[in-house]
Amino acid sequence: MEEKILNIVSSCVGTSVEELKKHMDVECIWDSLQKIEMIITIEEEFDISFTPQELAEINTISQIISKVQRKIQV
Amino acid sequence: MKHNIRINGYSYRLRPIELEDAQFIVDTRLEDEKKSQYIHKISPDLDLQINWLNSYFERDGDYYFVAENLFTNEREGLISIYNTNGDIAEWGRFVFRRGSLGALESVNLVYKIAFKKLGLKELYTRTVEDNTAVVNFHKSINAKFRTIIKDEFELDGKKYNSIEQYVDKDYYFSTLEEKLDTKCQKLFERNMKNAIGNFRFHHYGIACKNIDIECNEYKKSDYFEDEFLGGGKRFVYGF
Repeated sequence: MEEKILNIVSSCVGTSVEELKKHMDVECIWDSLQKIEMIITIEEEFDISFTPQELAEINTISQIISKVQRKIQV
Repeated sequence: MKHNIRINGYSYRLRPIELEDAQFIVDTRLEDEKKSQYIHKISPDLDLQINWLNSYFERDGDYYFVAENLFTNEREGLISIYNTNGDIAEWGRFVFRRGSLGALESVNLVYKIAFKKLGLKELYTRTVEDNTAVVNFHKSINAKFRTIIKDEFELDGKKYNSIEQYVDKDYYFSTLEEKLDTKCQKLFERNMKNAIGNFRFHHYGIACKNIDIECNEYKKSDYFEDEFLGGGKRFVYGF
């Protein structure tokens, strides 16, 4: 799951997965356009939907991973 | 200035700002300290904001909009066209509530207003050089770089260079509009799915009396007259 998310972020942000792994907790490595693409792709891939509150809390790759994990487990 | 420009997109609309939006402006601009660090600070004092809006209403060439979510009717952000000089203007005062996905469509709608309704030929932005997320956003839509203006902004006593980037009418209509429309449509599908449930779309429809007048913002792939709607109403599909 983590690898899938990293691949999605990588294709939306245009940064390699290896590079992203060094920046898991860096805030907002994406712009608003990239964030929209990333969110839509992740929601489709995992068949989930983020609430506006969750979207507000997604600022790093680690945060995406933990939110997806939580949603999948529910 | 007082204007009456409204535009609907797929998931968001832009409408003129009103005095009643003063508290929303204050709340939105002060909501996220990190995101707000590169915009001019405003006072939490509501009366000062009302005074500012009253002076804005008197200023020509300044168009301030509220972005509202068409699914929820909630206000989610702010965006403006100002410093109009002939057929060129700046856009900015661009702030959205945390968690909103309305920024992209609002930018697209501002370009539509500028080039289709106001007859402008160019819209430019000046962004604090250190505000890489916004500078990169403009880069990602292929806004052209014009110049760096030294020490243009002073925020909290510190001076910052600004980066001027611009989009002209020709580029918007030849390339950018379709690119942004496609992304907005994708976001609309996501929002629609969240609003009414999980199914795949193959077309969308609108019932209307006059397609050219009522649906001129939409791309129509085809339409048919629906006998059940009566009165010559037509059903448009395939945006």
